[in-house]
Amino acid sequence: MAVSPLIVHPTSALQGARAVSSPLKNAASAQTSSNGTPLAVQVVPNAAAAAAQSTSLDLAEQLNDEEKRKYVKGKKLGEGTYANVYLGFLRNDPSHLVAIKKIKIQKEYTEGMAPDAVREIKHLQELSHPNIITMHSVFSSKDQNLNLVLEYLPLGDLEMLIHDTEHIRYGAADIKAWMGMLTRAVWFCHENFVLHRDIKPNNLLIAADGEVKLADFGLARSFSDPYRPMTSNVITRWYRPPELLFGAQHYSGAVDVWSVGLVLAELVIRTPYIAGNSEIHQIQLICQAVGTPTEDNWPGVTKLPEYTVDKEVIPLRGKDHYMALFGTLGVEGVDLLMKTLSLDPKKRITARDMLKHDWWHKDPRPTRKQDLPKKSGGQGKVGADLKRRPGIIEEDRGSKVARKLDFGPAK
Amino acid sequence: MSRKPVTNGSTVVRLPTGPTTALPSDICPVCKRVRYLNTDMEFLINPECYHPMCSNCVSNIFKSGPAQCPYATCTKTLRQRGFRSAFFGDLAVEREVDIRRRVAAAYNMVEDDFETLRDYNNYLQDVEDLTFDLISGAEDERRAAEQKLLHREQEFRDEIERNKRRGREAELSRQKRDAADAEAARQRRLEEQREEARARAEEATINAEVMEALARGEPGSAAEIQARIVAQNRARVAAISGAHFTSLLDTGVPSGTSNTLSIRGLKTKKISEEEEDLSKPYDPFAGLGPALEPSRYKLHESYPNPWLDAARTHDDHRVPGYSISEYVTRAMFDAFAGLGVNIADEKKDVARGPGTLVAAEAAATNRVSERINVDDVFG
Repeated sequence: MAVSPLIVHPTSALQGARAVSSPLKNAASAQTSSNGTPLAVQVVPNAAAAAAQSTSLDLAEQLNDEEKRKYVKGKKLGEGTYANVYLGFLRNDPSHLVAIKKIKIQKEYTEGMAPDAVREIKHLQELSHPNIITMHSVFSSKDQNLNLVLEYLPLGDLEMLIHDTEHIRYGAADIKAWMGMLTRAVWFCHENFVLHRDIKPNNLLIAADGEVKLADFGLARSFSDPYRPMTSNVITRWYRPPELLFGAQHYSGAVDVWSVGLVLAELVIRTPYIAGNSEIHQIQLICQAVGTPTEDNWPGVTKLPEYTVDKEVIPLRGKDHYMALFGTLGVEGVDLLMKTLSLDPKKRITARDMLKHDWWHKDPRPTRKQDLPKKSGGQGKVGADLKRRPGIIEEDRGSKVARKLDFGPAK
Repeated sequence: MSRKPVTNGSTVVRLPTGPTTALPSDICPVCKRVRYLNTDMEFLINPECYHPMCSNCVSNIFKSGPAQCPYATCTKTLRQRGFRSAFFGDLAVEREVDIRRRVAAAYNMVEDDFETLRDYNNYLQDVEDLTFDLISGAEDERRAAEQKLLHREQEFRDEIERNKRRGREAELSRQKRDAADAEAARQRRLEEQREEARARAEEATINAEVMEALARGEPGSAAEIQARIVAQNRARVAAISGAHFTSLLDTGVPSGTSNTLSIRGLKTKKISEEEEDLSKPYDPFAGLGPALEPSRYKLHESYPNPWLDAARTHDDHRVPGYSISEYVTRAMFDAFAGLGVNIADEKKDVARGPGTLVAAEAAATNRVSERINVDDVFG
């Protein structure tokens, strides 16, 4: 699988295509246009390239050096088990700040590169959207350490704003603006056939102008072909939809939509809406919050591999239940929330239909991004966000969560 | 307490009863203390009822918590916190100012909010009517006005807040503009002064030249010599002084005056960024909606394909929501992805050194398969 003959220079091919195909291509294009090659040679040491290796290796090193010299690495913003994050800037324009994410060599993956890094690079270099973090470049430093040059987002993440109940106040218009940006990001991913699979407030970083940017593509993958299983052990547990908790291996963009719905709920009540201690507990809480998945509301659910619910069946929650909790969203907002939290993924709203919903056009109008509440001094936090391992709840329970990504079926 | 509280549901109060509403100057109406014996006596009022009393009474009566107003007919419960010294000697004026302040805070729209001047004037008239009712209307008028005001304060809180903010911003930008204007004027004056000084100096040198020429005894009369030198130098002086300095070098023809009035300080009508943003309807797709629709092919509802039948019907695909239409959309995108990419155009755009030539060519030859490569190696 890893040496598929199809893959010759995937990164450079995508890079080149991106330069013409994306209408949103920004000033970064000049830098990114040439950065694919060194990576391609590292990623794909395949037989076809082997013949020309003696010359292309030198060229690769040369290009890599060239790319590396474009940036100056500054102070460390944060250190984690997965990556270190440094503040950096362009050598010929010191006012242009970037965040340099240096992937650490991991014990599990001493040969080749960590899959998180590969996923992240692969998808970030394809996606160019105002609400998705921009990757300017990739280069390797000494010891084959991988460095991702990312957009510098100084204002922290959405989780900080949500949980800082003492200092930050926001209203329905602000929630709508944030949700608009998040939904656009997810819609754009799905429109480009990418599943993010780790949407949660602390992966939503805030740019200096207030724009929310979806980050951390360490668990992302492109849509699967039929009959090709995907792992169900993705998405941080609190934001994981029931089909993944039940062990489904063939799923769609609906998994991201469920996470988006829970982010919306969290924005309103300012605490995670469904926060289970374990997978079983998470299912129990979903039953309580939304209703027990049964053959009636989700035909076929009992046949899913890990279908386990309590004997006591809780009927689906009605609109009044949601109105009591999330009334500040208004009738349309609650309607949208209910559609994202549909148990049956087939009935769940798609990201595109979310954007077509009436809620966006009802009062209050979404706040302009410049006027959104923000918090200063998030410099340390941006480091913390980028260095985190994907798919893991931090906080106190972080130590208990096993990092288990099931790569078995793909081999 | 023997007095029965009369609730009238209104928070705007009657004036203190009695012939005058003036603040007492010498004798406290409550404890009858005299200023003669207490030189630092100070009279306080509470905007609940505007009954004046000395600060001593206030601390004696209200220190231990809310209590009823000590005036014989007044039934208001007052707190020490509410007391303050009156700004106006006449308490009727004090009250009127308080009410006007409150009304103005609630009805804080500006002329720009209205379509026509007439609308704005009507609005001002209505607000003034309401204010008048509050200040000196009869009991029922006042109550109705109070209801209106309360309704406005509660229902339109957002709007009021917004207007307030806008007012502050306008004030700030006005200050900034004034400062910039003043600075510009100062610079202009300085510049004129400098030019004038230079022109004067120039003229002095010309005069010296004339004197010198006369002293040398050049041919021609003195007037001719002067005329000649002045003519030589006129252009030089004119260039320096512009129109600000009328020099003796000027000819009789008034050339420097312009026939248009210079009008300064005209209001520039500029739509602010915020208003421009708000004037457009919110687009949830942020302008990208149509751009991502397939333009080279039409996506059908379904495509018959026996290979997909099992995925359509099997529970392991169907139940967790695996979407065949997502797959079909992607397959169609893949099939058409290479079309419409003009390599020649792209080559023109991309400026690249010899190093990247190889990469670009590799990219160009592989372009058609770009989406096929996307399959996750690790997934």
